[in-house]
Amino acid sequence: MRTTANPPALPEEASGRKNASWFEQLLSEVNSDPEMDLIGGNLTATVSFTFGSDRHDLVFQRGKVVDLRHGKKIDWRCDFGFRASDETWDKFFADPPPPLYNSVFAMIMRVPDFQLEGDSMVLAQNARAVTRLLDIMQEQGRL
Amino acid sequence: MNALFEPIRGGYVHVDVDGTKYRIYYEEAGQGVPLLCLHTAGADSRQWRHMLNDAQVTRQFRVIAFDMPYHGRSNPPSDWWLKRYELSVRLYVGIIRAVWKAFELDRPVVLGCSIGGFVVLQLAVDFTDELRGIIGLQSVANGIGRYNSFLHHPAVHGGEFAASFTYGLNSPFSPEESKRENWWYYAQGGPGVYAGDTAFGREFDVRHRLKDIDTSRCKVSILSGEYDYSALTDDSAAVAAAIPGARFMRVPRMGHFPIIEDYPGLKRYLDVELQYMIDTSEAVPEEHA
Repeated sequence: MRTTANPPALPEEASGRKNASWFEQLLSEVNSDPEMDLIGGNLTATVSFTFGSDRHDLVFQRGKVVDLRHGKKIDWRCDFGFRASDETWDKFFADPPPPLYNSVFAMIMRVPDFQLEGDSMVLAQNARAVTRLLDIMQEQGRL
Repeated sequence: MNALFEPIRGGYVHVDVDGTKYRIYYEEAGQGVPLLCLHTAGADSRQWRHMLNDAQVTRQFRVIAFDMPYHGRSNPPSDWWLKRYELSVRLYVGIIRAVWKAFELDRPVVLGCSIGGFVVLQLAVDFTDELRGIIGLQSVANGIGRYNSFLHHPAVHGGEFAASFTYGLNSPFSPEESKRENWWYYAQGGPGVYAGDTAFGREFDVRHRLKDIDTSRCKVSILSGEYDYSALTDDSAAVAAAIPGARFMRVPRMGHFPIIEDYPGLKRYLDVELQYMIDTSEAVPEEHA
């Protein structure tokens, strides 16, 4: 595993915006998760999460996060990703999340601010593992 | 000997709908007022197992749940490999009616969830005087766009995708074990079956008929889990509001699959409506009126 960063540090936000260190912890949680270990073997893709203007990429190989990227570069390619405002992400990470914000599939259908980016078929092919990833994120990110 | 046998009886009934023969699997328990239960799109009657095992219900109701053709243990019709499966309003109502007639159910209560909660509105319109009442869970009066091509796509595992796609319809408060059980049922759907069920939503629209449902002849109760992002609670409330005399209850902390994702959480609300269905005094508790 290696970690790259650009810019090197992201400011902590009162809104609960997730920063580089939060994603480092997420990497550890995902890579030690027994369910992901069981079901993630076919997940080889790069998934982006964008909070307002802050983007974070999780590079998966066979269900393990092998790289984290923070920021953007022209050659940092993603297979698919999720983009929303801090306000929307805060609802997703709320404990409990309010109706319509409890899952990404709900937000794709009902929250205009929430955007699915990239090749949605890669998401569909890995829906089970991605669902688990998002569950881990919610568990770790409770506000 | 610690084996536990459930009081559920299973069997098969052969019915004819529009000249096509169907072999239908059903499960039943209890005795009393017939209560015909309709599962959600892409699933099967296993979703009703908690109600079929609920002695408080089966003391007063003969609970019957069946698998729609192509679902669970009900076969597709002959030559199915030559036909695209798309559930029409006519076929859905026809199958329900055929099962109802095969069992010779006298003025049943029909209880449906999701797509089953949609079609009960059509039944109330079409068979008002032959029903004791309907209970719709997550009912809306016109279609919801749940179709997407990944539900039946050569590059996507349809079962895992449908199960994960619908998993988010559960409430975050519902027990993990129950949500995973429903995931398992969805993962076992036949290729293209959930996608075929969504065709019903493209055709179905009874909004203009709701006002004609006479609740003095056919009682109507609508319950809606607040975490359902597909059949929105406000839309279910609007359905009840459009039917004079219909009852409506928002079920807090509940999602799209109350019968399976959290039956105990549903029961405290559903029991009231089941009693309303068999109550001849017409007394309505204030909070449900």
